[in-house]
Amino acid sequence: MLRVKEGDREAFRALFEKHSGPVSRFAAGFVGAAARADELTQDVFLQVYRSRERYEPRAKFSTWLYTIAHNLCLNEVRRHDYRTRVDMDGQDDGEPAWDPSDPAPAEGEGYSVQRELEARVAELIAGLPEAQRTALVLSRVEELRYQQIGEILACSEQAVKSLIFRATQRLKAGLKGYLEDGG
Amino acid sequence: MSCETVIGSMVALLDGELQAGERAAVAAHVAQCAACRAEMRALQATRELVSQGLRAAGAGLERTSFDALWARIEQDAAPAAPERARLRSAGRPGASRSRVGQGRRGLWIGAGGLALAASLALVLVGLPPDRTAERAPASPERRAAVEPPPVSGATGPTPAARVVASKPAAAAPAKAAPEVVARQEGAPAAETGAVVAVNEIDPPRELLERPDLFLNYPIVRKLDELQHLEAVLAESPNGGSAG
Repeated sequence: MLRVKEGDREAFRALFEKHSGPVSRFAAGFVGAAARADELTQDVFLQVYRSRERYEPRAKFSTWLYTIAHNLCLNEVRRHDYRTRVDMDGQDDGEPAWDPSDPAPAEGEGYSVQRELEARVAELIAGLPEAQRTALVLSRVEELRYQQIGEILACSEQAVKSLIFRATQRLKAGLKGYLEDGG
Repeated sequence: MSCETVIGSMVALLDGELQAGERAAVAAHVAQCAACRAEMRALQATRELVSQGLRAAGAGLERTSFDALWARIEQDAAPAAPERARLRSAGRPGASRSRVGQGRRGLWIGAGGLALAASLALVLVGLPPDRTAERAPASPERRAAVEPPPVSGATGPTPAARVVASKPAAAAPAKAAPEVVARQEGAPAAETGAVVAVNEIDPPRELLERPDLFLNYPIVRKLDELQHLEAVLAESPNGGSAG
């Protein structure tokens, strides 16, 4: 990053190659739209480059990077209102996309069930409050430690623990049709 | 340790985020409490389903191109001519806008929209033309934007031209407009009209670095709903005849 601060293109390329995948996964998980991940990732690195002179290596680079990614993704979802109206408590008609009492999927159906699960997870995550969503995606996708997530969200580890727990509880309710024992 | 406290620590336990003492206490409680064991299983299954769903979604992502990014950086570093051309086109009907990552571009289109809306409001309420002229900067380019030279053979001004021509309307309203329209169709732009003129200046550095400051303004959020000037005037009860 210090070389990037001086405008070294190849250093910036190396940084990009190393971190663009995780940022892209975070963006896709956060906004719930894989199609936006590519452009959001570019936006993140564009912002990194613009802000390179202000970077100070006091914190981990990835913390700084995810802070930028988080802010841009927040702007994105606020502008586009990706949020899907989902009854997170499962109190509506509840129609799970897949009824666990159905016979096990035959061979060949696994793919569609998997895609359905992905879509349901994305839908449920999109319905989470922003802080819960950020903490959950950073934890589940990138497996960041609570301490680092706390630095990104500017909150304590205890707060991160609570955010991730509450998010998981809500997802448990929304995924009850997919859980073997019904949750 | 109560069941509620234990349940609140279960996900952190699964994430390996509990200190040894708390981990042991939670494990001991779960070992002897059937309800908590069931909850633990459900949370663990949820955690795995979510990770599985997110990872699968992330696995199919296209790899972002560094070259495309670098092209944007270079464009960002030298925004002069192409940027202005793009901003001009953004004021026309059918111009597409990518809303992600517009950064300063989005802001200045937004600023253009604000200025345009303000100009339109002034015209529609019948602000005397001389007052809008007083507000116009004295630079030759700005004067060109608000003072199109009269031409002969004019018919009637189009709605778009009326706003631009509002200042000289008292002197030669019918003649000024077609020239302006002709320039909007084809010519380069510093003289294309008020819509263009507001976008001629690059944003201050503070705004470049803090695009988030303005992104939540209603006018920015609803950029795509902004009607083009001609459409606005065409729908206006006054038919854009004010001024």
